[in-house]
Amino acid sequence: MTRSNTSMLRALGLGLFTIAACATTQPSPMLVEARADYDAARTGPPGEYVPDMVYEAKKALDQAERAHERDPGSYEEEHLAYLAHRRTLLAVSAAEQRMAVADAGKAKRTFETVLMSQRNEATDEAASAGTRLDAERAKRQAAEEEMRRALASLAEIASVKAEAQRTIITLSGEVLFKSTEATLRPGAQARLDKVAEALKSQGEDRKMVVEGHTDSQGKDAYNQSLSQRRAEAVRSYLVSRGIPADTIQAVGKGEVEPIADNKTAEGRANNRRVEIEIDNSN
Amino acid sequence: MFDRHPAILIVLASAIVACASAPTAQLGESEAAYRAAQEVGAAKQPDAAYHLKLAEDQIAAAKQLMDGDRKDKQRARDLLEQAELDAEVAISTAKTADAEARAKQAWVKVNELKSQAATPGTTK
Repeated sequence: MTRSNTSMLRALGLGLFTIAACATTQPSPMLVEARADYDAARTGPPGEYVPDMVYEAKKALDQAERAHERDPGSYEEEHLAYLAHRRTLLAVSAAEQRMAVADAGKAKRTFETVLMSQRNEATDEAASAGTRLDAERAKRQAAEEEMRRALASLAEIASVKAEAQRTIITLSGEVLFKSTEATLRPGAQARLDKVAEALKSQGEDRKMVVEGHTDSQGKDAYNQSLSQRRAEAVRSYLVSRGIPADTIQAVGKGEVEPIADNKTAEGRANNRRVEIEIDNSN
Repeated sequence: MFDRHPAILIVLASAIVACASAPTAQLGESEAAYRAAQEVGAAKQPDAAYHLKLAEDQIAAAKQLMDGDRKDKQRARDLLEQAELDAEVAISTAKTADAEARAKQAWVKVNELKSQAATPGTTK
């Protein structure tokens, strides 16, 4: 025998030994898979969520391991490893199921929370809108109250008649003007200042008409002209005191709308007057 | 020895009988699990369908072996055990897929709700 033949035989012997070792100790592929999946399950979610099922898988795997020790790579080992692997799959699936159910629960709670916060927002919005309405109403009531007080304060210098659609402030002609003149007396201005304040307190958008009236003495045309000039004088003064010019008109009515008997001096005095009509309709 | 321990004799005898007889009880268990898997819609979900098919094939193979010799009967019993577990895996996998779909749907609803809030007017 040559030297090379000897080493060949040695190599062959080693190879056979290796094959024999493999055949007698290597686990079946099924057992390898069962072990790997079990380890992943034990340390993963199944170990946390379904430890009882992981324990069932462990017992099944132990049986496969014992079969492997008795007879490595045997049919029995493979069969038991198959069962162990399926037990592991059951544990994995059950854990995934619990996670999915928990996730769905979380989604439903989130849904409720979002819905609630949206409803609260809507309620808050409605509430603040309600508050705004209340504030507007209160402001309006305060303004009306202020207007009533202002008009009442005029009672000493004028007669105030409040109707639903209009308020009429009547000022005596004697107080405002000298006879036959259309220039305001100095004392009249202080009174008209009060009137102007009262008018301004009613808000700037109210339409007003200043009407001049005379008694029946003298010619109609003269009375008409005088009443017109007096109305203009009052209007101009009120505008100078801050009443917006576009809200106030001046009209001369002459002698055609008496409020008292022109046959008596007292009646004629009452008929000589300036009326300020405030439109309450808007 | 055996007449002193009748209990051991009975256990051994019944074990031999169990091994020798056809696994009809196990067949019933496996087929019931298989039907249950079909009922939860395992065929409609790919992972579940895979295990459902395995169970079906294992039951069919077991039926071929059930009336054979002792070794065949044991093989049939093993296949039926595997079939039962595969059917259970199919059931569990199908249920898990359903639960995951429901969770996904629930989150879709959450996102819809949030996007409705982000664009006011669409809800009113």
